Amino acid sequence: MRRGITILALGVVGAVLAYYCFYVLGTAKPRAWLGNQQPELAWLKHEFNLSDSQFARISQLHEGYLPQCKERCRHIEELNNKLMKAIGATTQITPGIEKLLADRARMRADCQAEMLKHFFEVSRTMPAEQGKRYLAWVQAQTCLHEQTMNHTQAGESNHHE
Amino acid sequence: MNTNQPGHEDEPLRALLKEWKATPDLPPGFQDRVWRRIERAEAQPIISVPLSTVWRNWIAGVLPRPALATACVAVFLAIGATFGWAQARHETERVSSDLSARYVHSVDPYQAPR
Repeated sequence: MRRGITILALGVVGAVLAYYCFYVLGTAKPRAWLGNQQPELAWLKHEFNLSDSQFARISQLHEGYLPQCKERCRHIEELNNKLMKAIGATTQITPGIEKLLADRARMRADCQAEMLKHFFEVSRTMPAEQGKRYLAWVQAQTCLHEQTMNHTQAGESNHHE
Repeated sequence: MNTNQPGHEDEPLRALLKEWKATPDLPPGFQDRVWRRIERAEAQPIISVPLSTVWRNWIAGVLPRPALATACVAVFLAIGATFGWAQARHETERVSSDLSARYVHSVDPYQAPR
Protein backbone atom coordinates (compact mmCIF):
# COMPACT_ATOMS: atom_id res chain seq x y z
CA MET A 1 0.00 0.00 0.00
CA ARG A 2 2.74 2.42 1.01
CA ARG A 3 4.62 1.77 -2.20
CA GLY A 4 1.51 2.44 -4.28
CA ILE A 5 0.84 5.71 -2.46
CA THR A 6 4.46 6.74 -2.96
CA ILE A 7 4.10 6.13 -6.69
CA LEU A 8 0.89 8.17 -6.78
CA ALA A 9 2.51 10.98 -4.81
CA LEU A 10 5.49 10.91 -7.13
CA GLY A 11 3.11 11.21 -10.07
CA VAL A 12 1.30 14.19 -8.55
CA VAL A 13 4.56 15.96 -7.68
CA GLY A 14 5.81 15.22 -11.19
CA ALA A 15 2.63 16.66 -12.69
CA VAL A 16 2.96 19.87 -10.67
CA LEU A 17 6.62 20.20 -11.60
CA ALA A 18 5.90 19.54 -15.28
CA TYR A 19 3.09 22.13 -15.19
CA TYR A 20 5.37 24.71 -13.59
CA CYS A 21 8.31 24.06 -15.92
CA PHE A 22 6.18 24.24 -19.07
CA TYR A 23 4.36 27.32 -17.82
CA VAL A 24 7.59 29.12 -16.93
CA LEU A 25 9.25 28.18 -20.22
CA GLY A 26 6.13 29.00 -22.22
CA THR A 27 5.68 32.43 -20.65
CA ALA A 28 9.34 33.45 -20.89
CA LYS A 29 8.66 35.77 -23.83
CA PRO A 30 5.70 37.69 -22.39
CA ARG A 31 7.54 38.06 -19.09
CA ALA A 32 10.52 39.49 -20.97
CA TRP A 33 8.23 41.95 -22.78
CA LEU A 34 6.60 43.05 -19.55
CA GLY A 35 10.01 43.44 -17.90
CA ASN A 36 11.00 45.90 -20.60
CA GLN A 37 10.72 49.66 -20.00
CA GLN A 38 8.38 49.90 -22.97
CA PRO A 39 6.56 46.57 -23.12
CA GLU A 40 4.51 47.55 -26.17
CA LEU A 41 7.67 48.22 -28.17
CA ALA A 42 9.21 44.96 -26.94
CA TRP A 43 6.10 43.24 -28.21
CA LEU A 44 6.41 45.10 -31.52
CA LYS A 45 9.99 43.87 -31.85
CA HIS A 46 8.86 40.29 -31.38
CA GLU A 47 5.75 40.57 -33.53
CA PHE A 48 7.55 42.08 -36.53
CA ASN A 49 10.86 40.21 -36.14
CA LEU A 50 12.93 43.36 -35.70
CA SER A 51 16.68 43.31 -35.33
CA ASP A 52 18.26 45.23 -32.45
CA SER A 53 19.23 48.12 -34.71
CA GLN A 54 15.75 48.30 -36.24
CA PHE A 55 14.25 48.17 -32.79
CA ALA A 56 16.52 50.98 -31.57
CA ARG A 57 15.54 53.14 -34.55
CA ILE A 58 11.82 52.44 -34.08
CA SER A 59 12.08 53.20 -30.35
CA GLN A 60 13.70 56.50 -31.28
CA LEU A 61 10.93 57.30 -33.78
CA HIS A 62 8.33 56.35 -31.18
CA GLU A 63 9.91 58.58 -28.54
CA GLY A 64 10.02 61.45 -31.01
CA TYR A 65 6.43 60.98 -32.08
CA LEU A 66 4.75 60.76 -28.65
CA PRO A 67 5.34 64.38 -27.41
CA GLN A 68 4.03 65.81 -30.69
CA CYS A 69 1.05 63.48 -30.53
CA LYS A 70 0.28 64.59 -26.97
CA GLU A 71 0.52 68.22 -27.98
CA ARG A 72 -1.96 67.70 -30.83
CA CYS A 73 -4.29 65.84 -28.48
CA ARG A 74 -4.13 68.72 -26.04
CA HIS A 75 -5.00 71.16 -28.82
CA ILE A 76 -7.94 69.05 -29.99
CA GLU A 77 -9.15 68.80 -26.40
CA GLU A 78 -9.05 72.61 -26.10
CA LEU A 79 -11.05 72.95 -29.30
CA ASN A 80 -13.53 70.36 -28.01
CA ASN A 81 -14.05 72.34 -24.82
CA LYS A 82 -14.50 75.61 -26.71
CA LEU A 83 -16.95 73.95 -29.06
CA MET A 84 -19.00 72.49 -26.21
CA LYS A 85 -19.20 75.91 -24.55
CA ALA A 86 -20.17 77.61 -27.80
CA ILE A 87 -22.86 75.00 -28.52
CA GLY A 88 -24.19 75.29 -24.98
CA ALA A 89 -24.54 79.07 -25.28
CA THR A 90 -26.78 79.12 -28.33
CA THR A 91 -29.65 77.35 -30.06
CA GLN A 92 -28.47 77.81 -33.62
CA ILE A 93 -25.26 77.47 -35.52
CA THR A 94 -23.04 80.53 -35.42
CA PRO A 95 -19.95 81.52 -37.41
CA GLY A 96 -17.95 80.88 -34.24
CA ILE A 97 -19.23 77.30 -33.99
CA GLU A 98 -18.58 76.75 -37.69
CA LYS A 99 -15.03 77.96 -37.26
CA LEU A 100 -14.45 75.75 -34.23
CA LEU A 101 -15.83 72.71 -36.10
CA ALA A 102 -13.56 73.49 -39.05
CA ASP A 103 -10.55 74.02 -36.79
CA ARG A 104 -11.16 70.79 -34.98
CA ALA A 105 -11.62 68.87 -38.22
CA ARG A 106 -8.43 70.39 -39.58
CA MET A 107 -6.58 69.56 -36.38
CA ARG A 108 -7.82 65.97 -36.52
CA ALA A 109 -6.79 65.72 -40.16
CA ASP A 110 -3.33 67.06 -39.25
CA CYS A 111 -3.16 64.54 -36.43
CA GLN A 112 -4.06 61.69 -38.75
CA ALA A 113 -1.56 62.86 -41.36
CA GLU A 114 1.22 62.98 -38.76
CA MET A 115 0.19 59.56 -37.51
CA LEU A 116 0.31 58.14 -41.01
CA LYS A 117 3.70 59.78 -41.57
CA HIS A 118 4.96 58.08 -38.41
CA PHE A 119 3.57 54.72 -39.53
CA PHE A 120 5.30 55.05 -42.90
CA GLU A 121 8.59 55.91 -41.19
CA VAL A 122 8.27 52.93 -38.85
CA SER A 123 7.32 50.57 -41.69
CA ARG A 124 10.31 51.72 -43.75
CA THR A 125 12.58 50.85 -40.83
CA MET A 126 11.26 47.29 -40.81
CA PRO A 127 12.13 44.51 -43.28
CA ALA A 128 10.01 45.04 -46.41
CA GLU A 129 7.50 42.25 -45.78
CA GLN A 130 7.12 43.09 -42.11
CA GLY A 131 6.74 46.77 -43.01
CA LYS A 132 3.82 45.91 -45.30
CA ARG A 133 2.26 43.79 -42.59
CA TYR A 134 2.76 46.55 -40.02
CA LEU A 135 1.10 49.14 -42.27
CA ALA A 136 -1.88 46.88 -42.93
CA TRP A 137 -2.19 46.19 -39.22
CA VAL A 138 -2.01 49.82 -38.02
CA GLN A 139 -4.43 50.92 -40.70
CA ALA A 140 -6.92 48.35 -39.50
CA GLN A 141 -6.40 49.16 -35.83
CA THR A 142 -6.24 52.95 -35.76
CA CYS A 143 -8.64 55.77 -36.56
CA LEU A 144 -7.24 55.77 -40.11
CA HIS A 145 -9.68 52.95 -40.65
CA GLU A 146 -13.01 54.78 -40.45
CA GLN A 147 -16.02 52.71 -39.58
CA THR A 148 -18.34 52.23 -42.51
CA MET A 149 -21.38 54.49 -42.77
CA ASN A 150 -24.65 52.78 -42.18
CA HIS A 151 -27.97 54.32 -43.12
CA THR A 152 -29.98 51.15 -43.32
CA GLN A 153 -30.06 50.03 -39.69
CA ALA A 154 -30.54 53.39 -37.99
CA GLY A 155 -33.02 54.65 -40.55
CA GLU A 156 -32.65 57.36 -43.14
CA SER A 157 -32.98 60.21 -40.64
CA ASN A 158 -30.03 59.12 -38.45
CA HIS A 159 -26.53 59.51 -39.81
CA HIS A 160 -23.77 57.62 -38.09
CA GLU A 161 -20.13 57.56 -38.87
CA MET B 1 -8.95 -63.54 -33.87
CA ASN B 2 -11.14 -60.91 -35.48
CA THR B 3 -12.48 -62.12 -38.84
CA ASN B 4 -14.58 -59.00 -39.67
CA GLN B 5 -13.21 -56.61 -42.26
CA PRO B 6 -11.86 -53.35 -40.89
CA GLY B 7 -14.62 -50.78 -40.47
CA HIS B 8 -17.43 -53.38 -40.51
CA GLU B 9 -16.89 -55.13 -37.19
CA ASP B 10 -19.35 -52.85 -35.28
CA GLU B 11 -22.13 -52.55 -37.88
CA PRO B 12 -24.72 -54.38 -35.74
CA LEU B 13 -23.79 -52.27 -32.77
CA ARG B 14 -24.23 -49.09 -34.75
CA ALA B 15 -27.63 -50.10 -36.00
CA LEU B 16 -28.67 -50.93 -32.48
CA LEU B 17 -27.47 -47.61 -31.17
CA LYS B 18 -29.41 -45.77 -33.90
CA GLU B 19 -32.61 -47.43 -32.86
CA TRP B 20 -32.04 -46.80 -29.15
CA LYS B 21 -33.70 -43.71 -27.72
CA ALA B 22 -32.93 -42.81 -24.18
CA THR B 23 -35.82 -41.25 -22.34
CA PRO B 24 -34.45 -40.71 -18.86
CA ASP B 25 -36.99 -39.85 -16.22
CA LEU B 26 -36.21 -36.77 -14.16
CA PRO B 27 -36.22 -37.41 -10.45
CA PRO B 28 -39.49 -36.44 -8.79
CA GLY B 29 -39.69 -32.73 -7.89
CA PHE B 30 -36.64 -31.89 -10.01
CA GLN B 31 -38.13 -28.76 -11.61
CA ASP B 32 -39.41 -27.49 -8.26
CA ARG B 33 -35.98 -27.90 -6.72
CA VAL B 34 -34.37 -26.00 -9.62
CA TRP B 35 -36.81 -23.10 -9.30
CA ARG B 36 -36.34 -23.02 -5.53
CA ARG B 37 -32.57 -22.79 -5.99
CA ILE B 38 -33.01 -19.97 -8.50
CA GLU B 39 -35.31 -18.10 -6.10
CA ARG B 40 -32.86 -18.57 -3.25
CA ALA B 41 -29.99 -17.30 -5.37
CA GLU B 42 -31.99 -14.24 -6.42
CA ALA B 43 -33.06 -13.52 -2.87
CA GLN B 44 -29.47 -13.39 -1.62
CA PRO B 45 -28.13 -9.82 -1.36
CA ILE B 46 -25.52 -8.89 -3.94
CA ILE B 47 -22.22 -8.50 -2.21
CA SER B 48 -21.00 -5.02 -3.16
CA VAL B 49 -17.42 -4.05 -2.64
CA PRO B 50 -16.98 -0.38 -1.74
CA LEU B 51 -15.16 1.70 -4.34
CA SER B 52 -12.61 2.76 -1.73
CA THR B 53 -11.72 -0.90 -1.16
CA VAL B 54 -11.29 -1.48 -4.88
CA TRP B 55 -9.16 1.62 -5.07
CA ARG B 56 -7.07 0.59 -2.06
CA ASN B 57 -6.56 -2.89 -3.47
CA TRP B 58 -5.54 -1.43 -6.80
CA ILE B 59 -3.00 0.90 -5.17
CA ALA B 60 -1.61 -1.86 -2.97
CA GLY B 61 -1.63 -4.72 -5.46
CA VAL B 62 -1.62 -3.44 -9.02
CA LEU B 63 0.05 -0.05 -9.02
CA PRO B 64 3.42 -1.15 -7.60
CA ARG B 65 4.06 -3.26 -10.70
CA PRO B 66 7.04 -1.55 -12.35
CA ALA B 67 5.49 -1.17 -15.79
CA LEU B 68 2.25 0.25 -14.43
CA ALA B 69 4.03 2.52 -11.97
CA THR B 70 6.16 3.96 -14.77
CA ALA B 71 3.12 4.42 -16.98
CA CYS B 72 1.21 6.09 -14.15
CA VAL B 73 3.99 8.60 -13.43
CA ALA B 74 4.37 9.25 -17.16
CA VAL B 75 0.65 9.97 -17.50
CA PHE B 76 0.79 12.41 -14.58
CA LEU B 77 3.80 14.15 -16.13
CA ALA B 78 2.07 14.38 -19.49
CA ILE B 79 -1.07 15.84 -17.90
CA GLY B 80 0.95 18.44 -15.98
CA ALA B 81 3.01 19.37 -19.03
CA THR B 82 -0.07 19.68 -21.25
CA PHE B 83 -1.88 21.94 -18.80
CA GLY B 84 1.26 24.04 -18.23
CA TRP B 85 1.83 24.46 -21.94
CA ALA B 86 -1.82 25.32 -22.62
CA GLN B 87 -1.88 27.83 -19.76
CA ALA B 88 1.37 29.41 -20.97
CA ARG B 89 0.01 29.72 -24.47
CA HIS B 90 -3.17 31.33 -23.21
CA GLU B 91 -1.17 33.75 -21.06
CA THR B 92 1.13 34.64 -23.97
CA GLU B 93 -1.86 35.38 -26.20
CA ARG B 94 -3.44 37.53 -23.50
CA VAL B 95 -0.28 39.58 -22.90
CA SER B 96 0.31 39.87 -26.63
CA SER B 97 -3.20 41.17 -27.16
CA ASP B 98 -2.88 43.65 -24.27
CA LEU B 99 0.44 44.98 -25.52
CA SER B 100 -0.72 45.34 -29.11
CA ALA B 101 -3.71 47.35 -27.84
CA ARG B 102 -1.34 49.41 -25.71
CA TYR B 103 0.88 50.17 -28.70
CA VAL B 104 -2.10 51.19 -30.82
CA HIS B 105 -3.41 53.40 -28.04
CA SER B 106 0.00 55.05 -27.60
CA VAL B 107 0.20 56.07 -31.25
CA ASP B 108 -3.51 56.74 -31.70
CA PRO B 109 -5.18 58.08 -28.54
CA TYR B 110 -8.38 58.60 -30.55
CA GLN B 111 -8.54 54.95 -31.34
CA ALA B 112 -11.91 53.62 -30.27
CA PRO B 113 -12.02 50.20 -28.66
CA ARG B 114 -12.83 47.57 -31.29
